[in-house]
Amino acid sequence: MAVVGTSTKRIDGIEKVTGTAEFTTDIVLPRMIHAKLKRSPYAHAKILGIDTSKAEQMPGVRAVITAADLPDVRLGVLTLDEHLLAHDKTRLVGEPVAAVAADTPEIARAACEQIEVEYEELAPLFDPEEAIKLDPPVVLHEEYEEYEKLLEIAEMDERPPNLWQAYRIRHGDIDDAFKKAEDEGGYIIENRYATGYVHTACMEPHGAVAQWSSDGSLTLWAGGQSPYIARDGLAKALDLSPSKVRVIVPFVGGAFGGKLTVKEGAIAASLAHKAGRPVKIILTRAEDLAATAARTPFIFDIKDAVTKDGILIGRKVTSILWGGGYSGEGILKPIFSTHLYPGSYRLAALWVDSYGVYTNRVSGGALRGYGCAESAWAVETQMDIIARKCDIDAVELRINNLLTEGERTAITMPAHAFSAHECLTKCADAIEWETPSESLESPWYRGKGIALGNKYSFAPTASSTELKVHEDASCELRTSAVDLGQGAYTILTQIVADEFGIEIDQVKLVTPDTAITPFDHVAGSSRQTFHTGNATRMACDDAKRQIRELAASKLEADPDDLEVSGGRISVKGSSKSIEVEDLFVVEMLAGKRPAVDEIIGKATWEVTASPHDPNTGQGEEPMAYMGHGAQAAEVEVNVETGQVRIRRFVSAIDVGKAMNPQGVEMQNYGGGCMGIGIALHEDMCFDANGEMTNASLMDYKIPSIVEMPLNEYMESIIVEVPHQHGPYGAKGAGEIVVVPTSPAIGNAIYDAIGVRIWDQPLTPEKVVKAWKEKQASGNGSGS
Amino acid sequence: MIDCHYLEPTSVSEACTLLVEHGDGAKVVAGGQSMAILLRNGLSQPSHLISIQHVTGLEDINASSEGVTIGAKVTLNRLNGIGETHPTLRALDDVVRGVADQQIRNFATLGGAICEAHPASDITVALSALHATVKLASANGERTVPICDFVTGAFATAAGPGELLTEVVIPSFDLASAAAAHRRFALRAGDYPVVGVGAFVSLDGTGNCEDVRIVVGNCSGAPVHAQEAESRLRGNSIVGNNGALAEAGELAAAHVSPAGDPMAPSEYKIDLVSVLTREALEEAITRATS
Amino acid sequence: MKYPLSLTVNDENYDILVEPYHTLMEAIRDGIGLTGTKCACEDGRCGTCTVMVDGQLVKSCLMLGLQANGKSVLTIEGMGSPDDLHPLQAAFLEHGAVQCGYCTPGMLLTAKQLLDENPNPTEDDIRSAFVGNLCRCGVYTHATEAVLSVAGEENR
Ligand SMILES: Cc1cc2nc3c(=O)[nH]c(=O)nc-3n(C[C@H](O)[C@H](O)[C@H](O)COP(=O)(O)OP(=O)(O)OC[C@H]3O[C@@H](n4cnc5c(N)ncnc54)[C@H](O)[C@@H]3O)c2cc1C
Repeated sequence: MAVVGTSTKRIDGIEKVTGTAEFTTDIVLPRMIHAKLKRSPYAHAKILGIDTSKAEQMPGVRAVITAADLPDVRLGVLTLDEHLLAHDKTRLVGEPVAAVAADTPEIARAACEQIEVEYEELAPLFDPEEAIKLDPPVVLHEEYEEYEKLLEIAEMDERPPNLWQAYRIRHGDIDDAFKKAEDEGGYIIENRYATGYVHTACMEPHGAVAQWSSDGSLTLWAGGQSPYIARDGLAKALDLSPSKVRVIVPFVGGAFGGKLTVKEGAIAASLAHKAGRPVKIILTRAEDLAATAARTPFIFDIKDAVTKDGILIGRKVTSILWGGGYSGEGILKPIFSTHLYPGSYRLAALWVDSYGVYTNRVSGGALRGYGCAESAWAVETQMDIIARKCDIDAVELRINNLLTEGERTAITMPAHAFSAHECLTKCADAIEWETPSESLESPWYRGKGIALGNKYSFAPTASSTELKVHEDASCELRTSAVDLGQGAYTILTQIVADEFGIEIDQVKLVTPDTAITPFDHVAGSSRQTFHTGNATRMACDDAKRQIRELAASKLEADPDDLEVSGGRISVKGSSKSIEVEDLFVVEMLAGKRPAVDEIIGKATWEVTASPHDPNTGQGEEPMAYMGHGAQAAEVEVNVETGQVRIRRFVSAIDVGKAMNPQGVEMQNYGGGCMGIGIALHEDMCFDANGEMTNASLMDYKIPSIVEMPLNEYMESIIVEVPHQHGPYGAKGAGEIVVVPTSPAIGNAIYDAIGVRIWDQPLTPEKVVKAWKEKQASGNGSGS
Repeated sequence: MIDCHYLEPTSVSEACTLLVEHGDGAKVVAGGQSMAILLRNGLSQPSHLISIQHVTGLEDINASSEGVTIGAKVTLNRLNGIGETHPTLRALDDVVRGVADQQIRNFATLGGAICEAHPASDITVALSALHATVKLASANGERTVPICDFVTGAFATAAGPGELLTEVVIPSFDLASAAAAHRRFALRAGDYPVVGVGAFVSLDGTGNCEDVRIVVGNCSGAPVHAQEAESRLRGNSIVGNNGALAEAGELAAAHVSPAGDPMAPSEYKIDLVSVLTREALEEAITRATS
Repeated sequence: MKYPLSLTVNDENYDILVEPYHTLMEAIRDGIGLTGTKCACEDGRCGTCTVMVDGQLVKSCLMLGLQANGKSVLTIEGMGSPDDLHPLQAAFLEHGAVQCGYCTPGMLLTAKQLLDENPNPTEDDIRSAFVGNLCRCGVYTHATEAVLSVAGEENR
């Protein structure tokens, strides 16, 4: 029976509903002690001295470290610009400068307070438009030129000293496009958009447990997105050979891009080394929100050339990613965000300058939709504005501009398994696009909005898996793909069950542990179903090949004539068969052993991609695949309080093949929920010193159930346009579900009350302000 | 680390004695819904915690001709629906439904909600509009303080050392011609409000406003009385007079100068004061006339 | 100064020592070692630490351990076991109301209290009940379905 494509229950579910699932926060080791970090209160300061003596003398304190105790290496994703503990300078409030391990978390916290750090305050720099100047008021990284960089950025006559990323797209003749629009009665539509500060705010805070063995090797338990990225990072930070580092991933309480690196894990490891004891570090919620990487804002200046019939012929974008003290995991965002500028649309000319700059705020990181969710806000709001300007229905306008299968986008990505049209129309039907919203009694207004989105999955990338077959014909999949809640373990299990024709409960998953499970790049970029799924299928094939070869002599048949299913190996077209068990022999006192070798299938799935030229954005196929989706919202806006309620929400995404339809529905609803939070409620706020002022789950407002539409008004639509390289045709679903949400809601607000709010989130305060401005000027502020 | 003692008196007088004995280092714990967090995060480091969990006599709700008396330990959950049994308390009922969540309401006490003196407290706003008084017991006896004088600022009350809040008294009024209501706006369900407004109105025989109270929460350390707005209405026709109510809203807004909160700058809070004042008045008038 | 704390947790008796400033959440997790009860926010907003004390739902980080002295506590571990799931646990699984699983224990106890008090809740009742339980994965829609599917069922 086919298991792929059915909504099997999640295989890690029993542990999760009974409270037996062990998360990093739950781990307790003998003699384990607890770490806390001493953090900088200044956004920008020189460290003149650190006195840890008082802390060291406190009873119960086992180790105190500062940068002096660590190897002097700079870390980073592609630009190595950051020390584990601040070296001679701090560049954001909350940057760790020292760490303590003590018998209890309370003692560690008290000891941190006893550490005296002498700072010389420097002027902070917060404004990205100041930061990008050639002569900025403040330079964050004086030694930038000396840093190791693993990625080439666009050539510039002179690099602004705070700039760490520059990327350009030069496709077609942009000047000609604007001229044509002007000359032929078309439109030039130019607007500025901004996104806000968003945090992953996973329910499980960041944390790790570190333990050293007597042979000098380190084991780290950390609920992160990639044990191999973690292993590599730990090895670099602590100057160890990667083979000395073992990373085990327990259950993970959410990640969403926020758990790619294990900085606090490396600090815990260093403390554990010094203390000679296992060390646990769990960030407080305030630290988690204020001092771990966030989705930092973008500013987009976008200018479109459109014919009078609403055909987009040219687009010019300048964007700045408002980075923080370090480039961090945000390093590729100025590049990957550009994927959405053509998105699903045909664009004869595209001109982009995209930058990332340092400021003295929290560092930029990944968050579901890496760059695309941000640029979609600008692009899909533009599309709505264009539609209104041209007086063409917003769905029709988008359809008129869509690419067709096989065409290449303006960034040379082939449009394959191109489902934008289907997503859009199904979504529009579900929200009854043709029927305008009912009017409500003042001060409430209703309106509908729609938006389209894409999410690429990056390349180059690779996943390896191993598949061991046991004597009872059960299979054990060893993978370093991580289940962050998205259901990866379940889907991989389904694949194995399907490939071997066995039941789900005959598949055992060996979860990520770098001592056992093979390389997998990362649980990110919507890549696990696609890449690890492929690797898993291939490992199954490899194991089945071994089985066929082993069985061939017993069955006196050619291996190619054999098939393996349901624990039996049979000769095609005949009744001759044996059991998998027959490939094993009895060993005295030891049960059964494989007659020859262990049956272990191994495979690596790899997608190569040649890097695009950072000066033109042109090259070969730049990504593994491109996913599509559309979302629509009906909102109710109260113009007096500014409250926006989502009355109705539809999410239609193309997953190629729904490996587990309920799992896709969970992404549609769950992503919708996060998308609604990002659009309306979530905003990291900072005071004039650069300190976050709402670093709690009380004040940083991820949605509660009440912010969601009633169940009957939530709709999940699954579109299946198979991808030629996807396992069973599948593509990922994890990120596309938050890409169109903000513009869909913003467009709905416009439909309801005729005002545009250009900067996310669309908070009640901004709604009231925009409405009042509109009343005062007697018309809408939308162009 | 702090050395902290935990004491469990069983009577009000015992509790008061302990409070005096341990002076500044003593801290009352009622439901713990605010205290536990402060203690856990080291933000409060008392030498003695005086739990009133086993203190008897603080859990009654009694009605007399003078009004309704609610014991300090009555939980917010028990107050849910109080407007049905004691219609003069509908404004308190308005509040209780919106405060935090059921987990918190199950254990949060009325006394704790008042004594916490959170600037955004809904409870004190509603009780101020209702002209409630609180009874404070101490080794020297008892005193009664109007709630608007009791909460003196953000996290500050007029409770002297050794004083325990024992009761809240909400005076009765003529339901045929008077009523109160509370309106709040929060950025998310379950959160403290951005602004809350409590309003009380009483009407004379002609439908004019005889008395009115407008109390605004989270625009200052303690609830604020919007006196100009009250004056605008007192003695004037208010039933069905939307213009007057809107004006009162604007006067209330003009009266406050709140500090901004994250995501709710001062200007926005002022806008909300105007809207919520009008709405609370409308609702109070509707109640008074039906 | 540490004080003895006597608790009945999931029908078993425990006698431990706690500081007065330790919360019930710490008593359950660190003192007794039942880690199904989670901690995520430190300000009482998120509800991942929700348990029942004498049949009343509470966020265990908002109650001192000593406040629960002598009382009976129900945590997720006592709600059902892997071989004998509580109908709500089964329904959460069945209806996809579990993603990362970190908020799940708290959500389940909240759902249980709701049905204990109101066997036939409306969707609005369910939403009011879950106000104090935040979930970042956004399982709300499915959790509502799960609770509705169990509502009215016998044998809860
Ligand atoms: C997540 C969250 C959301 C909330 N949302 C809201 C909201 O929207 N609106 C709102 O109004 N409130 C809100 N609250 C506050 C809540 O109402 C209070 O925490 C609760 O009522 C406090 O009551 P308690 O009995 O638990 O007090 P405790 O925490 O035990 O005590 C609180 C304070 O009062 C003192 N105290 C308590 N009882 C007495 C007494 N009898 N005499 C003298 N002093 C005493 C204590 O020493 C302490 O200083 C929220 C709280 C939380 C945690």
